[in-house]
Amino acid sequence: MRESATTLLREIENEHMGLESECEFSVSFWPSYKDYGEPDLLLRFSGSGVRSLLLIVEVKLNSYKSGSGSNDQLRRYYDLLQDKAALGSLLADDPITALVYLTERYSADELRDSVECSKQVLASRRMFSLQWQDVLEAAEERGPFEGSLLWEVLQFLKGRGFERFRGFPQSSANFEMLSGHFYASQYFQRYVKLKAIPNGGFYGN
Amino acid sequence: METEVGRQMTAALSAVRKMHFDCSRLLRDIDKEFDGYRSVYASIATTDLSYDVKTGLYMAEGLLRHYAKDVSPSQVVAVNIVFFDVGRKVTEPLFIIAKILYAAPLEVATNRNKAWDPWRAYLEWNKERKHGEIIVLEGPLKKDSILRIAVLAVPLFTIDSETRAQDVVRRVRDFAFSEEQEAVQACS
Repeated sequence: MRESATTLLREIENEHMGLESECEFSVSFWPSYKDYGEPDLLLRFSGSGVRSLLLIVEVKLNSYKSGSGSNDQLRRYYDLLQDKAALGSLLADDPITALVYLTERYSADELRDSVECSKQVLASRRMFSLQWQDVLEAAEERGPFEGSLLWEVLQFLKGRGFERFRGFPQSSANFEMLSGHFYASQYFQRYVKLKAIPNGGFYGN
Repeated sequence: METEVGRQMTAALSAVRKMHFDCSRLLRDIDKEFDGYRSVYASIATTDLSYDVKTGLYMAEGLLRHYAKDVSPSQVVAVNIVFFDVGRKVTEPLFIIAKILYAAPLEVATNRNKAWDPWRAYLEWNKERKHGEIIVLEGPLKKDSILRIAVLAVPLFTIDSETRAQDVVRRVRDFAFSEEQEAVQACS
C-alpha cells in the first residue's frame, strides 16, 4: 500500500526542528563523493539547541535522473546521506537528512521509482519532489523588493518561463500588452540576458 | 515605412505565440492530474509540421498529450488542443479531452495515427458538438480500432484558471464507461 504523501516541512515539524529559529547555514555546490557521485547541492542548517538538517538537492532542467535500480541517482544520493564514513562530521550530530529533487516537469513517478528501489527505511518520508514553479511562487509570496537577491531569482525564473499555468487571458487587451518589449523579454527569452538585471548578485557580479 | 496591417499582423502573431506558450504551461501542469500514468508520446506535443516550400502552412494546427497506465494499456486519456480547423469551421480554439478504449493495447508509443483521435471524435465522428458535455460514442470506430470514446470539448479560452483546467480534465479522467460502472458495483 502506498504511503500518504508528506512534505519536508511536515517532517521537520515532526522532528521538532525549528527552521525559523536562528541557525547557521552552509552550502556546498557539486561536492564529489566516491561511490555516490556528485549531487548539485549539499545544504546544512544547524544551530544551538536544535537538531540540524542535512539536505541534498538534485536539480534537473530538461533531463531525467540517471541510472536505475542500485545505480539510481537519487537512491545513491539518499544512501550517501546515511553514510557516516563518507560524510564524517556532517553526520556527527545525527541530523535530519533529506533529498529534494528539483525539476520543471512533474516528477513524482521518477521519485517514487527511486523510493521503491531504496533500501533505506525512511526513504519514503525523506525524498521529496519540488518544481521550479513552486520555487517561483514561494519567491513571489515573499514580495521581494526590486534589486534584492530573491527578486533576481524571481526575474530569472520568470524569464525562463517557469510560471505555472494561470489561465488564458480573458481580454484581447492583454494581447496588446504582450506584443511589445515586455512580451519579448519576459516570455520568450530562452536565456535570460544578464544585462537585464544590473549589479546582479545572483549572477555573481 | 511601417504599415497598419503589418503592425496588426505582428500583434496577431504575438497573441498566437502567447497562446502557444500558455498551452505549453497548461499541458505541462496537467501532468499532475496523471500521476501513475505515462505520457504515450513522451514530450512530443504536435505533429505534421512541414519544412517544405510547397506546404504553405508553417504553424501547428493543434497540440496533443496522451496518457496511459501500464496496467490498462488499451485505455488512454488524450488531450487535443485545436488551434484551427478550417474545414470544420471551428470558430475558436478548443480544448478537447477524451477517454478512449482501443480494441488493442497501445504497444507502439509513436503510433501517430492515434494522436488526433479526440479531435476527430468531437469534430468528425460526433455530430452534436455540444461544448461542455461529455459525449459517449459507441464503437466500433476508425476501422474497428476504437471500442468507445467519451469526449468533452470546451473553448480553450474558457479555461481561465488552473482550477478550471483541473475540473475539465478530472471530469473525463474519472469518467467510467458503463461496463466499468457495472464492475465497480459488482465489487461493492
